[in-house]
Amino acid sequence: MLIPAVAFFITFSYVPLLGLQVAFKDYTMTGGIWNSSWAVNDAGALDPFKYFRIIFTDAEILSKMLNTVRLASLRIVCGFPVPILIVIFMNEMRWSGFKKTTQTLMYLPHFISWVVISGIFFQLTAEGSVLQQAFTAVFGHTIFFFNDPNTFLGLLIVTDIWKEAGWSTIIYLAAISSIDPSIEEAARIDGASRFRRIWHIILPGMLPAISINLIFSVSGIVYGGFDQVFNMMGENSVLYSTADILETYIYRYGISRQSNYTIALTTALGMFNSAVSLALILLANFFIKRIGGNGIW
Amino acid sequence: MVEIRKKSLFTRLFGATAGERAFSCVVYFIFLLVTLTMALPFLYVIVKSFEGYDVTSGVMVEVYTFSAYKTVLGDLSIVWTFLRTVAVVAVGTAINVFLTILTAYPLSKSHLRGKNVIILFIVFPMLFSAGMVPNYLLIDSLGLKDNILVYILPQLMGSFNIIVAKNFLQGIPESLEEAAKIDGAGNYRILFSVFMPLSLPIIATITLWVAVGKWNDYMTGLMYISDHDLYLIQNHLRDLLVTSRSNETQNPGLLNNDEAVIMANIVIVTLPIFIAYPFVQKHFVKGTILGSVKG
Repeated sequence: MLIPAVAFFITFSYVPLLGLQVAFKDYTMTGGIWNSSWAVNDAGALDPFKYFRIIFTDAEILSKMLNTVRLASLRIVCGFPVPILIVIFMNEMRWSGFKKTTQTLMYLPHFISWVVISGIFFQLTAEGSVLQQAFTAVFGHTIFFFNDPNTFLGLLIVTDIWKEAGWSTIIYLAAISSIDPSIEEAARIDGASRFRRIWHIILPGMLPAISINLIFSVSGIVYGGFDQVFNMMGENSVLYSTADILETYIYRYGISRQSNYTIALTTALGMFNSAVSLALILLANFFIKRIGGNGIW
Repeated sequence: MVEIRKKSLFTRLFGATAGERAFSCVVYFIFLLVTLTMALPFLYVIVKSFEGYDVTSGVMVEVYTFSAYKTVLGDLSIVWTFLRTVAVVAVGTAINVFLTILTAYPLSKSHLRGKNVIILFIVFPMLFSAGMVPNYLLIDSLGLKDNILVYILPQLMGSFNIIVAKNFLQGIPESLEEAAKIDGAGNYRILFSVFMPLSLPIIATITLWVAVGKWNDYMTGLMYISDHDLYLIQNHLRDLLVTSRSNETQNPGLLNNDEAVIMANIVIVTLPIFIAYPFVQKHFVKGTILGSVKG
């Protein structure tokens, strides 16, 4: 029963790991993965870590790293608390029909691709749209997010919250529903205010779920959300200064405009990304367990 | 005699005291805004897709028509792309779910030797992947570029779904297996006749996850397909959006007559999800909660 799985994972997950040797080689089309020679420096001496050195010294790549970390951090700071707040307020809502309608609508965007959503928001903020008319009325001028590197960053954060915050509430709602209702009732009888009930009962009940989500968010800091950025940014180089992240850079030079040099370079970059993310997930897990939270294993 | 007074509807929805009522009003107001924010972008797209101009009277009059949809569906290549996508998603999902359960079943048994090694073998790719370029080189060397199988083979199963299915199967009593063994059933018979019918909730959820993922997948086509006769619907839409965007950037402010057509394309690409969503939402939610159980 396990033979198909073993064959599949070896072929499509472990064989590509062998391809990582390209990061240490001067890749050539004819040599391919196996027969290209190990990387040499300008003097012709063996230098397998050449491409990794380039990653850490090339100003362009360093700026992409900064963009990635900036975007991912902004996402955590602005986006992470949103589902928690939604759940806390939703838990205080008495009208269950209203609650269900809101939930249904909030989960919906999670199932729609970034291709579609980038199309929707581009049209929504295009010249002459209702939104731009509103901006003109309020600020006195239009804001073209898709042509301005700074406000575009804000648009990325907002659309990400719009798409995913609703879906992220599920895990917190499940956590809240497992809190024994008699605890809340006892607190109410003892005269605890609404705020104190939220602070001392609801939040602690959500804490395990919060800590697990935080582990995943922090370990994803080297991934700036490829699908979103790639589709929203498109080929608009005006936006590269703030929004171009490591993965979009890897796609552009490793796949769509690849050359022997960039294949080796972007393989090294991808390997660096995977290694950092693995290290961060192990580290975050360790710390959360250390402070008494629930790790992921 | 104790008289039980039924609370009025207003009290039930807003609370009994003035403070509670004020708080309820604030909460309802917040969620009214949330609901509008979620719904309006979709409504905007749908309304815009029906907008058109009528010039028969000599003056341009804004009307609501199906003309954008006629334009889109009049292009047979789009219809074929849609049907091709449906076929790829159906076949790919069926194979994927079958293999996921087949793999998860033995891993759910406590008596399987070397179980933890195999689980680590399956989970490790989730934690450390080779990255975009080595994967590209592999697909290239396997001859899967511009081959319809590229939509199926590299996504035969997913680590996460296997673990979720395994956790679910672990919850089914092992005594059922023993009973079936005594009755003379083999391992496959036990899986298909005893465990599969009991795992329908998790099978439904994984089927939906996989199907939505495949419907929304644009990356496979983008990286490995250049032949437009093998395109799937997301790639068709992406190409259209990229072209319209570069037109708009080159001629800003120019009246975009194609807006309705773009919106109609977006609606058509999203339609299967819109239609299925109300019916399957509960499976998604249930499955996600099941999947989040650590094990």
